Amino acid sequence: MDKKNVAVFFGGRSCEHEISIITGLQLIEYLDTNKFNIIPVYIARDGRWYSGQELLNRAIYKDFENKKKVLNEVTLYPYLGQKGLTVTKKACFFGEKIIPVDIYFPAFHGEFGEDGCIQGLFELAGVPYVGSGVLPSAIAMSKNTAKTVVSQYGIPVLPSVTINKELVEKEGIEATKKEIFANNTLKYPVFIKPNNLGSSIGVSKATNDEELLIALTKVFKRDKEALIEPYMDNMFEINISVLDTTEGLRTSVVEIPVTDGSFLSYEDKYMREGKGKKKGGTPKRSEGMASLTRSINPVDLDEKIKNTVSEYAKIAYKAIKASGVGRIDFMYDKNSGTIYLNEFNLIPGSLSFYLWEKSDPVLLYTEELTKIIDRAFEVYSIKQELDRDTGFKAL
Amino acid sequence: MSSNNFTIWAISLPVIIIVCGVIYYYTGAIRRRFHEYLLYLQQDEYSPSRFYKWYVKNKAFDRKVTLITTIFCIIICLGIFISKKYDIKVLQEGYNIFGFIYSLSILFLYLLTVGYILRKEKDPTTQAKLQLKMTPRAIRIYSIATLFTYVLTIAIFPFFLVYGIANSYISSCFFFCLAIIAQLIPFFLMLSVVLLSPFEKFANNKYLKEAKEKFEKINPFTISIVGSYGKSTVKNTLGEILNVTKGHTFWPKAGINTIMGVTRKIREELKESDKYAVIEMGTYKKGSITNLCSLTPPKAAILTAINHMHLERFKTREKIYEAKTEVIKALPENGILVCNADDDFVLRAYKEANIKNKYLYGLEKKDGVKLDAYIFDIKYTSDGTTAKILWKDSEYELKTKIVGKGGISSLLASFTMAVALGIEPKLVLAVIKEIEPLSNRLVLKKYPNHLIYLEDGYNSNPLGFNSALEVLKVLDVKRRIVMTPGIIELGSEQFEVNYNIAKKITKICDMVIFVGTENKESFKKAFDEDNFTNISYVENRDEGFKILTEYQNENDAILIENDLPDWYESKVSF
Repeated sequence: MDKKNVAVFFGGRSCEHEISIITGLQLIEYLDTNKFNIIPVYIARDGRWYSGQELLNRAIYKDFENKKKVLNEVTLYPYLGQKGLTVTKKACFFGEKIIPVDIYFPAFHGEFGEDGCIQGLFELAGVPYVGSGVLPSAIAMSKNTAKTVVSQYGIPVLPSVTINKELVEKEGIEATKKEIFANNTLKYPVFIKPNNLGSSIGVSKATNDEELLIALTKVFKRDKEALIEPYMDNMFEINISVLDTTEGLRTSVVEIPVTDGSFLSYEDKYMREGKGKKKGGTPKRSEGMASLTRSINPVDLDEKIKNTVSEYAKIAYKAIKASGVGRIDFMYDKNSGTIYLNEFNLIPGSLSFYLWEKSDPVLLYTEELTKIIDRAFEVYSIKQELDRDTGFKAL
Repeated sequence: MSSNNFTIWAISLPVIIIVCGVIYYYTGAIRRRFHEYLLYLQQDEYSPSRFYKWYVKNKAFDRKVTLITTIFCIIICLGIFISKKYDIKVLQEGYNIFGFIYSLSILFLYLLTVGYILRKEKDPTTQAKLQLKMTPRAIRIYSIATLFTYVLTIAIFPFFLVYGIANSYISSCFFFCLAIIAQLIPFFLMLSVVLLSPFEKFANNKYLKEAKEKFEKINPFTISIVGSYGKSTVKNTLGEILNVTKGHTFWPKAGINTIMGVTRKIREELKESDKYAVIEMGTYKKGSITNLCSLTPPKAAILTAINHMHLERFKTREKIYEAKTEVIKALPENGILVCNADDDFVLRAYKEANIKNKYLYGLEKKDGVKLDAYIFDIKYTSDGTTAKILWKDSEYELKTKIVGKGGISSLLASFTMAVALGIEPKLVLAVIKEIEPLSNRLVLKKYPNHLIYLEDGYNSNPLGFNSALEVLKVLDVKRRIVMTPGIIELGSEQFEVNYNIAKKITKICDMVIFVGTENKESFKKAFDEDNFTNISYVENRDEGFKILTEYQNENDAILIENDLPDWYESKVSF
């Protein structure tokens, strides 16, 4: 059987650019080379696309501007009939003009890569791609939108208020506070986070007006919307992965991340090196979510909680019509025993392989990747069956 | 192919490959030497006159290539002498195949030796303090200069063909020509700058025009920042505040404050969505500010200080005053002007300014001066600074990671402008709390075992240095160490300013690592008068850090003050 050409995309314009590089390079290492030819595609911070085997060497990212001349600059045009990536600027005089690609694998985190933007380009080009489509990606990226959707399906979510940056700019602090604490939905302490970012960047707790202001300015540095929720002091986080395969939806074992503070911050997720293992041993440098200290499938966690989380995860995944592999983060309120859906991650760090390795049956990373690629081809062929040529005659 | 042809190819091909390899090796080494000189030319802002002054002052002429050449000439002459004495025909004048091979071998050995020695020198594109950036302009200058070199080298090559390189006394002149060419490298670079200046001027004018049109079209509300110090901190802080609270704000990062620097940033980074622009303006000569204001017409301005920085260029403080107050002339009558009352010259500018909306800020109360924004109760710790701000009869708490009087004064300037623009004070202070200090502008870094570094390497000035020492003094540590070359470009005031700073250091610090020779005399005088003996004198920053690494201990606080560009450090050797 011919090998399929898989273009793995990583980097991107979001603030999670470097995390994406780690995810991308990691998954490239584990893709089954008996089945796939791998084409690494790096999207630089200015949005330009580069391809070349030199991208597999991490050193290139430290001084990319000076080292990029060994790479081809590439693009995907947004019209039908694309055989692959078009080389717009060759590294070598004798290089190819078109790099054949059979399927596109985005490994981005955050804006422009996980929120439906790149997925939109793939749709316009009419090419198969891995993971969720435009709509579920956009829903998942906006925390309050995701909560609104899943709450319609009976999944508990925390009450929240979304504050737009313009409100603060135009109406001022008092009006903003009034908006947040209207109807007594919220009271101090509250938890503030960017509505449209992942990886816990810019999250903070506020117990008074001063801290609230500081937290809002922290959010507005990076996002135009802040999501404010009640702060739960007696809770723990439970994460679970969901896999959409040709055999249907599957959930992994749960994990309880271990934090330094009372909530999982960006630093906890990516800057602390834990004991997460990948195939072959402990990573020597920051390996994203894979290296976070965590308790996977803890034996002392009530089975009822695990089952509820699993059930909610499947419902939520179906509710937003997600595909590929994702991770859904929940919060368990120890006071009330309620499990709340916190957020979706439709391209989770390390594609949550560490959860699937501990699941039953075990699913190793290589197999996980093959399954989601197979599913992507299946989804694509369903789309191909749709009749888009017949239209209303208006002219 | 006949066997003769084959033999010729079999011999020629390896020779050609070897010749190409040797030439490639040598030219790579010469390129290193070009880069080394180009580094200093670039740090001199491509000014041939300043570069020449540096060249003469540091005696930066080539020694290594000249020495190698001399040695080779001696070897050649010795060879010729021996061949004549013992009648070894093959080494004498005349052109035969063995003589040719002998000459070529000597030449190759020479090229390889020169190449090896030069390639061992540091690569300025990766190993200098302020690395050489091969910008398009640098590439143009380098290309023209190397063209001169290669044209000259090729021009003397026929000489070799006639006389052979090592077969006659006269042919050793060939080597001297190569040494002379090596000596001419800095002059070729200067000549390239001069020859390219009409082109650079044309290109710059084109870029300037494009940037001006773009800026006019987008028309952001522009705030100019002018002053002898603190500009970058004010720009960065105000930029952050406006970006978070008012809308998209454009501010060229780091120390970009020249007309072409700002031009480039406008062309590359200014977006249609930018509502505000904060532009730092450097005063390099009379008219600099006017030119910048013509490119980015301000509706508001902050004047931080008018002191003796760059006195060397302007000669008098009055001339500096005239140059900096060009920004006030560029403001509309209903514009906003924010001035630092702690500086007498700025206070004077405030009084003379015919602007409707004027504000004064300061750290010190003065008789007859009403401050709009006043900061007091300043406390420094290893976590940052806390203070109180009085604005319109209301008191506000300031908490920030920025330390030092200079930094706090800059924050107050940004605060004053932000509230003058209608942003609520509490919101401004909330943003300020999260702002990180700019790299090397009195950044407090804590390490394990309570070792603290105060990194203040960027472009020191008297107020900044004194502020840094004040912070150093109050930190809860066992020992205080300073590493510094002193302050430069103060003209006639340089000796006195550095002497006074050194006097302060002797009262606060336990050890000093003094870098370079620029201000050695003034520091030494102060140290001798106060019997301060725990001093190490080093040639450059790298040596200083070696000593520091051995000496530093837990509970030490170390101030790194003013990191001079490479061309100020005393040791250059070519």
